[in-house]
Amino acid sequence: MSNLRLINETELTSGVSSFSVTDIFTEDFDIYKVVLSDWVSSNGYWYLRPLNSSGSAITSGNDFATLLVQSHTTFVEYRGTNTASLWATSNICYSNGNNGVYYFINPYSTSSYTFVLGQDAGFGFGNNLNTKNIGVQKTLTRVTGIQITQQSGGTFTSGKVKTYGLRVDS
Amino acid sequence: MAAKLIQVATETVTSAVSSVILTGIDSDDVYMLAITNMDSSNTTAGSYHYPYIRFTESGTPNTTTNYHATGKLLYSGGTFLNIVNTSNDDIQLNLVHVGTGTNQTVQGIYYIYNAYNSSEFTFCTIEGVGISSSTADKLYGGQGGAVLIQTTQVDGVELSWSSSQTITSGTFTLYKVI
Repeated sequence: MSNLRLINETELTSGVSSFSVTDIFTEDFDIYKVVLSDWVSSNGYWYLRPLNSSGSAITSGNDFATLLVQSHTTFVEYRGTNTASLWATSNICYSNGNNGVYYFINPYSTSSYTFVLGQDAGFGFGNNLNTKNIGVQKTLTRVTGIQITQQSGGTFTSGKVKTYGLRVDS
Repeated sequence: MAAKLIQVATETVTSAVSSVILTGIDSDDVYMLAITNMDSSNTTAGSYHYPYIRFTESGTPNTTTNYHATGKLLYSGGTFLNIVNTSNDDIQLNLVHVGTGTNQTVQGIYYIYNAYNSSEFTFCTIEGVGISSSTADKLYGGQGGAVLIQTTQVDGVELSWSSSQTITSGTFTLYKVI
């Protein structure tokens, strides 16, 4: 049996500006693989927030660094400390779609920080836009889910999230 | 359908060791290395050292200067840095300063290619993230790739720290991707 176990598969309803996937991180795993696919929106940017066990966004203690690599102009560095989200203005979700793979490490622990790393690829308005991302949630709050929200009043037209737990057999 | 990951080897460090060796690469499949909560014996805030990987042959680390690695070091506290290492005797994974705090650890996901094929170079991708103590818990993470430019049969990996630091904690797991 594979050590990579599918935990949850969720698809959003078109027209929403914010989308949460709750109760996906548990005590069963320390590493989670989150696959985002077919994310299409009416606006250019979205941000990701960790959710606590009540389903509320954790809006402090987030640090991130993102490199935006793009085909039409110079690369851009984004960074932030103690921000309200893990990626404040950096992830691209344009009209032709955005897809990525992220790993969440120690989300359920209240004694270790929650670390995130990942990358995504997107295309919109004739340009290829991709990001390389790292993040950390430092409040030692138990993280049990994620929220993806559009900026500036935009809405999503599609998007899927698949969450896997990566088992370690001792 | 997601690829299957089959665990090949794992080790959890709870008391200090100089290095961790994971073996079990025995096919031409892709392998994935996962590192969580890797900490060092460092007691000096801001001192610079880094975690590294070497490939093993018959369980022995390859210490030749045939490793090349490039990438980008993402940093929450300032300008990102280019990583360019040629003819090194190891692969620097995250290039982080890991300090003395409880959560100043390293995590990473690394895919290894062509390792067991003795007619090809061994490649790996690098995705890591860690916390530095040099200035108030700054976030670092290397994104890039590396290669061992030898056509030898690799059967595993060695993880360690530079500057004679020991590994004081961490879980290291090697998976076969099928």
